Amino acid sequence: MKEQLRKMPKRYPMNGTFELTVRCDLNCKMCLFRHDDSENETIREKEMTAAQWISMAKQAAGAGTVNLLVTGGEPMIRRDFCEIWEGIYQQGFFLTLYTNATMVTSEIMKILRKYPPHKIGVSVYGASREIYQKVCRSGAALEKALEGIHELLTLPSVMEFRTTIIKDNYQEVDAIQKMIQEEFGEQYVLTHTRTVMQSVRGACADVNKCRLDPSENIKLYFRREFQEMEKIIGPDFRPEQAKFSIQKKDEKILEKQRLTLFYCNAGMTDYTITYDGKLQGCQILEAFYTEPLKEGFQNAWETFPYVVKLPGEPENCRKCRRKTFCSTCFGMRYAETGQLDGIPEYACEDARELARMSLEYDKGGKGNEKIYCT
Amino acid sequence: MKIKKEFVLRKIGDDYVLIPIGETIAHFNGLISINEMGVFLWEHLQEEITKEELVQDVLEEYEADREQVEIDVTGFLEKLSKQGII
Repeated sequence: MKEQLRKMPKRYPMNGTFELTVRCDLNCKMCLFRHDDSENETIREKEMTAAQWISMAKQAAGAGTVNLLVTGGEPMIRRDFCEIWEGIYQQGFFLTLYTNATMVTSEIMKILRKYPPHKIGVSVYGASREIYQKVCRSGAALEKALEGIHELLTLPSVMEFRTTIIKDNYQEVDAIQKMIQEEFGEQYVLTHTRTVMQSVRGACADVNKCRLDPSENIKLYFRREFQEMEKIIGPDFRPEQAKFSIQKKDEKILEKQRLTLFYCNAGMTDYTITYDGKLQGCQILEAFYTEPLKEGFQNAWETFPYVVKLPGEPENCRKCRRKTFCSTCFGMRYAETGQLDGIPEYACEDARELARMSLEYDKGGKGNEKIYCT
Repeated sequence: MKIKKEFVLRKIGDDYVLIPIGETIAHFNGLISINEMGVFLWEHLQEEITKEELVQDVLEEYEADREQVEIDVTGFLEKLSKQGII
């Protein structure tokens, strides 16, 4: 029997993202958020002030936020980064800082030593000046990043290394991993973004020119997963002998009702405050937002579900036999097509390639199945 | 004894978590979930206090069996001690 939801149940904004800016000192070809430099002054005028960020942090803490990601653009590009960081820190969050590590000054290190993040995610895009020039339009950024990372490693924070792979640095993935381990320690691994999306919210990157073809993207994904498996299994591991099978989710998990707005945690436990003061479900999906600067954080959070109006799933997607392999979401649909019910061809190709690479595929598989490697 | 590390106590809905901050992150980088009794003990541990004084404070605040309170307080203190928090 169909149940009708009569009232939105209480939601807690457990996990927040504070996007201090979309400006960045780098100019990466595939950046989701960076605008053209000509817009920097306009963006700066729209950016929330330090006082506004600190007030937002107080309100978010009062509303129940525990985990907070501070990100950008490049957050350290803000001249008032130290003031913002100290103010946010005082509220008591489990704090993660995302940075490209190229703007780590002694002043910033002083504040981070006093108020260290619990976790730092550093983005690294190449192992050579040449590749940094191609990807980020700044060859000199590599040395700055390495220097910055060495400084950040003196903090007690957990460090993670992240990258995004496009055509220009595709050949250098292993070299980046090797550089990180040789420079900073064997214990560090490099995670890479699974799928490069079209840029959003007025950003200027033209990813069609630089992102990997879906077949290359899937090969990269498999190769890196196999490398991790080899570390666990040892030299006896033979990727050609790997078997892939679809495993059904536990029935108990399937029976449990889960209320979502977008089939994820966006807007239910997760939110983003954009640089210009909007509360969105995530950094990517700009179509729905409330305005915490005008109505206060608590009210903006509580009323967010009521501004969300979603179309039905496209019929092609509903009937798609590769649904199990599809990584698309409303954010991706909107980014790729400009429509909430658009069909993102890149994601379709990606799913097609993933299905093709899998050796066993249960024809007509349903969306509640998860693929494991056995 | 008293709390010797820096933590922030946060109330999230009906639950409470302790979040390490500052230098404490070097020794403990996670979240500690505690219940209402734990919050009571935590607040009393901000100043120097003995275990017996803690037990007495609990008994004055709550209607509870002394033996059970001693067991609960001892267990709580052991967990904190194991993490180097007291």
